[in-house]
Amino acid sequence: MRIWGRGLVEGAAKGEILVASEPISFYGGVDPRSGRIVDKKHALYGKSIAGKILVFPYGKGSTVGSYVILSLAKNGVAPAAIVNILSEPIIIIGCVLAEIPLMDKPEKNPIEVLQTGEKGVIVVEKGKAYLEVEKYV
Amino acid sequence: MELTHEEEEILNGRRGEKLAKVLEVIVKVGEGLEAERLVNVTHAHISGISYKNIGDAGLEFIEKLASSNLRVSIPATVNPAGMDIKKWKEMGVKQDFAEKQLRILGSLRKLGFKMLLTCTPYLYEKIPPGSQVAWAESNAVLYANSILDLYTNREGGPLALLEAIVGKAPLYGYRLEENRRPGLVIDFSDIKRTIKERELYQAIGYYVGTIAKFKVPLIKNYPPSLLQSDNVKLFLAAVGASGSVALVRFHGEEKNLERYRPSIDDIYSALPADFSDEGTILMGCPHLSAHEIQWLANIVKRWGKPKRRVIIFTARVLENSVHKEIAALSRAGIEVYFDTCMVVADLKSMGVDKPLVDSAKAAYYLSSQGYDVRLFSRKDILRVFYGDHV
Repeated sequence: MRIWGRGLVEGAAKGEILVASEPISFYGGVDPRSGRIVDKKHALYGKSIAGKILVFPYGKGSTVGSYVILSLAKNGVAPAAIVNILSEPIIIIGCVLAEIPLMDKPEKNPIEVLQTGEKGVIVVEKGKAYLEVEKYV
Repeated sequence: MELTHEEEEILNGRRGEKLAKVLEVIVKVGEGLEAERLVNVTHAHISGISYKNIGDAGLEFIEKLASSNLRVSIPATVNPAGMDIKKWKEMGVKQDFAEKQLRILGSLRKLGFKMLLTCTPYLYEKIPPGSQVAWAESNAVLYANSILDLYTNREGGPLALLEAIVGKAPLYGYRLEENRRPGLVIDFSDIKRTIKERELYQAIGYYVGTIAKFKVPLIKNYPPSLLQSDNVKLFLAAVGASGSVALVRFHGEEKNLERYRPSIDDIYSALPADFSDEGTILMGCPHLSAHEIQWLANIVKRWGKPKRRVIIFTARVLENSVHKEIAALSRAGIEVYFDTCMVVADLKSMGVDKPLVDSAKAAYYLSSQGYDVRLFSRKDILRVFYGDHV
């Protein structure tokens, strides 16, 4: 299955998909050293986002979150790519600085059609992007 | 997004790779938000400079920018840091924290930022009305748009920092006249007198932010005292804490807008904290103005030393202009700190467990940091200072 969307930060990556149905606050919500979600109220609490194609609706919380994304990259525990329903400045700035491929406005709701654990390939070019997913039968 | 010839040249690296990267971030944000183009901004105010908030990630980012020979291209000021830069030892700040905080400030100075270290730049910076600016810090953004007729979005710390360097910001949101029109009306007719008598400016601000969410609120039938500068400062800070809106209109056409007419219970039930009086009194969120410090000094002159521990936060620029009043407050046992505030400093290291505040903004942020906060109106906080006989 291929999902097309808008390309915001160019690049390509492959990896396991991790789906969060709720927004993520990187500041206070993700540990920059381990790449784990440390927000106890979050459905993905305890999960590592390192190397994953991380799918979530949008970013929230403090704008310092951009620095946390950059820090994750420096520590080698950043997501391989991010897919949002709609990206806002915290995520866009973090991904540009950390050079993490970023796609948003997918044609289908990725939170409904994708499942954690599926393998995917993402390609983001100027303006457009797609996520190709191997579906388990 | 449409770019000018100059912007294309910067992006292509004609003025260095580092500057190209800075502009690239701004352009990507603009594309994400579907801005048609960038606009020149004439002043920047950045938040996110306390080591407590930005940690090593922010420290490294700011140091790297400073070491790459980039400089701000417009007048630019900074929000409070994580400590008083002179009296940090008295605040219980550890050596390691202080060193890192000073490194952040050193890099910002090298980048050309003016070390205003206050969340109230609007009291000290002179900017012509109608200007496009790039401000972070929610209370300052609300004051800029609502009172000073400046044009800015809530840029956020990292973006405002980069915009200060390039002098450009994406043109969208509150920068466009069409998005500054009111989207709902809040009518205070039923509680106008109570607001004035009990000085509930921050409380109604918190309510306005909660109700407005993303829409521009037009407020009606408020007591005129709301517009006095110290009151409107508390009011707008509370709006910014509880909502995402960046502009409040104080007059305008109502037309067919959705309308709210709150009762006093609506106001109290929206507040993030309850009312009791155990703990340490903290004032200065936003930073106290010269006028507020004079007011407090007069109270201390009349009533003597407060019965509780009181800590106040203000801007370093006032250190000289109201030095007599500050000396009087210190003699009365009130702890006075500059450059920092209750939200970005570490209150635990200052021995504060239960903050008693007169700012709904402070109540909101300190609650979210896990403190058991009590919120008072400015009038009631004096009762807490001295007991019931005031």
